[in-house]
Amino acid sequence: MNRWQIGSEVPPRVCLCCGLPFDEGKRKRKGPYYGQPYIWVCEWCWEQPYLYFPDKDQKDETI
Amino acid sequence: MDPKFKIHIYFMMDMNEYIHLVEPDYYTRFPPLGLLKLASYHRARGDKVSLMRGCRKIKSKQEPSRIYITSLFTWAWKPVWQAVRYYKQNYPKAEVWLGGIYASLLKSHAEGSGADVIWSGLFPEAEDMMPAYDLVPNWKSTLLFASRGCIRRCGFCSVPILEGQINRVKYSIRNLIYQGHTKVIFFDNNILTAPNWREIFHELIELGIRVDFNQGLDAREIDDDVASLLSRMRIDPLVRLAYDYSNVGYYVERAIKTLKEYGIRGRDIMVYTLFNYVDDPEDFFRRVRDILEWGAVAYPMRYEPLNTLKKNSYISPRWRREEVEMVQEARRVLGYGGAFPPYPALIKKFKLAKDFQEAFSLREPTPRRIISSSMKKRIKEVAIEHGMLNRGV
Repeated sequence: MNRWQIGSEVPPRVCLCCGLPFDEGKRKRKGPYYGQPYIWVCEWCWEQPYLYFPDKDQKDETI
Repeated sequence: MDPKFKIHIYFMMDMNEYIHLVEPDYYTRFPPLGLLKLASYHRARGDKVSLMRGCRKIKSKQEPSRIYITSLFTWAWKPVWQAVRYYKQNYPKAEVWLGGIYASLLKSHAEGSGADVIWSGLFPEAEDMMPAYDLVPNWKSTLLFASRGCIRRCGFCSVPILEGQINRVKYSIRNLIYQGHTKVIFFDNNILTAPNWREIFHELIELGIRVDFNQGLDAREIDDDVASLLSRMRIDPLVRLAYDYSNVGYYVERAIKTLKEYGIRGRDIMVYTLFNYVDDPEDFFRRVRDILEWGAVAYPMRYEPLNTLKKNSYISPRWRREEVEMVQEARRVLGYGGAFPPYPALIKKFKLAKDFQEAFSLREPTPRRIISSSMKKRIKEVAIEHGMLNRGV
């Protein structure tokens, strides 16, 4: 559980999804999402409707 | 119950079963390697197996006891869910197992499909088995991993998450080539950083078989030694490199130069150029221009996040949708099969362009195409592989 992201032993400074640094505004850090591709992401990425996060209602989940 | 524990129970059972394997109806150029290995694994146990693509009635009168469904890209999840639902509904006695890349990356999303078991990662017992290529008789190439994993940690890539560091290294692949196959396709993620690359290269030269390092070769690792051995192989269709970040430009240039010194033509070197990630349009423009000036083929690759549920939706904060669409349009109009080949008119256009807008703008007359038929053939093969021509991109 102390592995914040693959290859890293400290919390990342950038969102690996979009590559931009975290801040206290719209790029506030969200997570951790263990078992997901990105353990920490920024709020902007989290809000993209087509990106999956387990704690989010995905509107387009019908087949 | 932990699915890994279930396998051990399964091993202890001594009854022949009927196993059905399903590749959902998404676009892919390659046969489902994991399912073909599972087919061999079950046959070794004495089970009967069948393979099917999409949702169709099983021909056998016997009800399957287990159905394995594979998956690929996360954005292709809908056909996977459809397959799970179809087989659950029509074969309620069968246990449905869902595995593959999507299921491994987005396990909690895949659980919503209704599959009985979600399998993450490789199936170790089947991994080293010869795939049951007889189930795909029209396929004539052997698909191989001489190693798994990668030493790099690229944020856009799923390999560090799915496979970790270099592992499962094989020092000989001779016995893994299926009888009658005329080509070997390596899916190794970074073979040049694996300890076995030299043994594998010498073996390929000795065998004289056609070879495709499908996932590309790490430009940082290409030196005289590597280039010399590659030049003695029957590379088909071409050598693939990547120029994903501007700071590896030195290595990409050096790799192209070295490969050319050993007789590999620039038109036979394709460089994947990632965009819409941490770059911006100007950075992407400079990388494409570099590749063309170095005399190789630039193949733009649009970044997709590893958790996307919809293809071509993500626009990086550093890009605008119109700019991403300009790249796609330029690929159609200026390029060939989605790639930018190093023909003189295109090199000139990029060399004279002062910025991204000018380089990718289509307002000026399209440069006259000067592409040889062999170059067209090679680019078309790669484009088909990526689904570019099929989707009319």
